[in-house]
Amino acid sequence: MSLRVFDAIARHKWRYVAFAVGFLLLVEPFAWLVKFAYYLQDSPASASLHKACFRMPIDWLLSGEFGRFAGRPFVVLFLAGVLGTAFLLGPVFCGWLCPVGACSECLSRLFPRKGQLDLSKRVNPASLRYGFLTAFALLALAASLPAITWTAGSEVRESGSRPIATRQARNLAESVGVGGVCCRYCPSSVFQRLVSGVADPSKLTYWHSGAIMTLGGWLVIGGILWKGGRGWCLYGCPLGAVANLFHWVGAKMGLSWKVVHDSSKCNGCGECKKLCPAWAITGGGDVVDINRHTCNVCLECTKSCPNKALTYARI
Amino acid sequence: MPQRAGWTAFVWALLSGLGIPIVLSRCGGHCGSCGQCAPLIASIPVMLIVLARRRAWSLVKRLLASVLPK
Repeated sequence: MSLRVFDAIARHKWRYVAFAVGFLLLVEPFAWLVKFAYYLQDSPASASLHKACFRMPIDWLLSGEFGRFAGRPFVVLFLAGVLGTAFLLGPVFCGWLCPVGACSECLSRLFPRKGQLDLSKRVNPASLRYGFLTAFALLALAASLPAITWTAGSEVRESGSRPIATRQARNLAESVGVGGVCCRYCPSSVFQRLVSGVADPSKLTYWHSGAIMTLGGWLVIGGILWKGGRGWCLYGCPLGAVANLFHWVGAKMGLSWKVVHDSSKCNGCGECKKLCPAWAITGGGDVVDINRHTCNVCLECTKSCPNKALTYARI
Repeated sequence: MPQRAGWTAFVWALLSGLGIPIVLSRCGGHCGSCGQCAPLIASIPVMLIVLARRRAWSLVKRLLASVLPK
């Protein structure tokens, strides 16, 4: 087991250095990138991984609250960076920098692969992740509708009281409850709280049943019990799904760098398929198919291929 | 992977992605045994049975074959 961990680190050490850099850039108490952005903005807001939230910009977009983007330039730049690099280079943020995915993947490597879940032959990971993404977008749309009603309601607001229609709309938003549910059950949020709790134990009061459920889903089922340890990334992460969609479009247009397979060099050993944490490599023998909808360009396959049949190139 | 299996997985993910947040929307996370999450928790064994039914059925057949006279 320990040999497997050291082998993985030795084979691809720069990726693990990038994981550490991602942690330092985004996670409190370090969060250097977030702190730098807020320093430039001259804002005293506390810097944490939560400032790189993907859900809030979608809510603002759908509810027409465009003014909020101006107040949070870091979120805009972060998303533009993640999706722009996904279009041109593949989802490098997911495969190299994301501290949440890195944490579950590294944890997964500490446990024997034999007992881990491998559903890649039973279900299509791309279908599942886009199914969740569609649900995420529909719920964000549902939650944004009352916000539109709120704006309309405020125009006819009676003096000193809030119109009944507006109050009902707020209740509707609460009953859909996307915002609260997203934050309470978001692995990024839970991860940030976990790290903050290590630095300051008084913050460990956050550990309620919802957070423990999320921790179990993300780190135990999606990490320890999952082949590759990317269970949350593959099936639950909306940012990852959108990044892969951008990568797929970029690859289709011939603009994106991607992992490519040369069957003339392949000896069919299957090492790439065994090591891919994103279950992106399918096929048998020297016929290898790379799924752009799940590949996060971690390049574990190119590093492990004994004949260099897999390369990262722009073709 | 057959195309139909892909669509089935998509619909499964869509329905569970819509259902889980709605089921949990009133859950404050501070477990006071309100029971809001009961349908979600109850769905886990159902899902496991659905996923395992083929394997379970083949196990039953194997057991029967070993017990029953040929």
